[in-house]
Amino acid sequence: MDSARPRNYLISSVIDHCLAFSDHLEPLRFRQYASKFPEGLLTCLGNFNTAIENKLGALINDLDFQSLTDEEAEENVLRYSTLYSYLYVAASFVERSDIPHTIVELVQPIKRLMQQQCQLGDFELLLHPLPILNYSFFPLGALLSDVTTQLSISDASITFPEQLVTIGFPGLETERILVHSLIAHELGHCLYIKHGLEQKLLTRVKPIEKELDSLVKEWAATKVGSTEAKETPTGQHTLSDYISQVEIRSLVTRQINSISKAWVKELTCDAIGYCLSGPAYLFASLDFLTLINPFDNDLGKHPPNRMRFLLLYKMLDEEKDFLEILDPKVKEFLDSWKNVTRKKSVKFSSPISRLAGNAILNIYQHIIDEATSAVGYNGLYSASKNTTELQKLVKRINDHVPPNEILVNGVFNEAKFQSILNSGWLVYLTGLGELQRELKVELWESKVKFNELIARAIELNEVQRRWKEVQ
Amino acid sequence: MISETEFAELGSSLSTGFFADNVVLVLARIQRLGKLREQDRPLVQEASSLLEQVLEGEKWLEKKELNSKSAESAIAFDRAVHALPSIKITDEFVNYITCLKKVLQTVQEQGTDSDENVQRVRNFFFKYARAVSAESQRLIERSSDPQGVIKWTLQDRGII
Repeated sequence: MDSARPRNYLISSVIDHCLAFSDHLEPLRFRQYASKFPEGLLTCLGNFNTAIENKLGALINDLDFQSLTDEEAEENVLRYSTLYSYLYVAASFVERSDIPHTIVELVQPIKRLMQQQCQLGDFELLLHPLPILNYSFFPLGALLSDVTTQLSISDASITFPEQLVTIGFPGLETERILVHSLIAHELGHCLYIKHGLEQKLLTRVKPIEKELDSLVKEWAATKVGSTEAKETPTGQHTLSDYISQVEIRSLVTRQINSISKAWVKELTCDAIGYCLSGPAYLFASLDFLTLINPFDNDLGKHPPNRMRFLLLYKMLDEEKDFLEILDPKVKEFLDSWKNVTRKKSVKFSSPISRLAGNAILNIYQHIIDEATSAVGYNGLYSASKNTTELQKLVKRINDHVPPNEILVNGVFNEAKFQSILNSGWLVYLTGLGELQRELKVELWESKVKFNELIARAIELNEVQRRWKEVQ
Repeated sequence: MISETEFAELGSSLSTGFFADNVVLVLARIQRLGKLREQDRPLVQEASSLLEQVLEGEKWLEKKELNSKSAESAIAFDRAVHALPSIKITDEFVNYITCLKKVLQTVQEQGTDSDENVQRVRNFFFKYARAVSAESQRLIERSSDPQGVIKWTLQDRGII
């Protein structure tokens, strides 16, 4: 049998993926985006696609490829096919970050924060809605660069910025600008990678060694089918009868490493989120995270909410001056969640998460210190150092004026982006009864109007900054 | 549509998958030409490093030190275990990977090894590539969480 024919057929089918992808990209070039970057990215993706098409075409006459067994050749070509699932999703990020879908007001302030204040010069952002109630982060640039390297594509027109990230937000909540203070967590992922925080922090996590050892032994010796075993004790089996010794070792090793790595990362990104946005990050977390996850759920890639809020309240406790200016209703809101958070110790549902979780709880101060250092002096937002600005902005909001600027010595100065969000929360949490009465609308509508006011403030604030820059 | 967490993992497994495919191609080339080409040396070196990572992952429970490398090694170890389902005993597993590493060492030093030995390494990297593909496929089909494996294992056996 001529084994070259089916493999060449597979290649030509994947080349069809390339051509379809090229057709898919074309109309995206005519959309309008919140920055110029997506247009350049689409060109780059198009060139990348052409390079892959050429590589695939060359395989047909490649002696080494043709010397592979059928299975090996199939595996090789299928990888390219899987790549197109990946590229198609990547293109969908671009598609959904166009003006009708993105949160236009936030794109430039976020880029400014990351490029100028946090010193990530090549930071680029695709901000797009998600069809689920959650936020997401994806380092698209780094991973596309990785694949480009593995494919040995060295074309100067195919360069993906290392700091190109996609951030997803819950599409249903697009208009709730205050909740998007949570985007600071996703920005945290960029700084976490950039500053190598994983290496700095993971080495500090010390699970109790004896417990880990006994866990491996216990699992290997764990009796299974216990109900039957009572009737026929001799028929009892251990877990190691079903899973090999080496599999148990690999499971435990991968699990503890994977949970520790994921939880340290997520908690550090929470700390960075707080450093970037101040208490607005905690307010948004309390508003949003408590609705998407049970308080003690430890089954996902994120630590349980209780662990997250323990960390954030530890950071809030340092904001002494800020805590002094709080309206009693806001204070009551914060205290009630603080009580819930601290009332019980963290519950873990599996021995692995307990070992990792308890070890991580011991390094909270290190997490805060590294987060603060990664954000840097210019990126750090302290609510306590901005109490005057916050009080002035709160007054403007209460007067139904967008809180984009403050009067200092007879001159209007742009407010800090983060102060706009924080002042928004400070008013929002006192309840919007007065606004509702004045506008004579339902509570929901008053919330919508309120978020619009904050969005306009962010937009005006950005216009003022851009105006100053071009003068 | 796949979630973005899964998408990130897919990106990483794709990159590793292309790497393993390239190793298979280079080993096929060594067998075809009877020697290692100079330009393929870095890839053989990387393949050897991956085997070292697998061994480090296997030894992790002796040291229990967490760091960026340990997380990568744990994944490499787990993938290698999936690539070698017939090996059940830890010592046997370690010996097998060590032998493969020695073959790559010989290839680097002498330009080649016996066809049989190179074929063993090629078979391993093919199976490793398959294990990575299976991961990618599971990610696309939304059932890849390793925690799920533990849960499945323990729930199905009536332990939790």
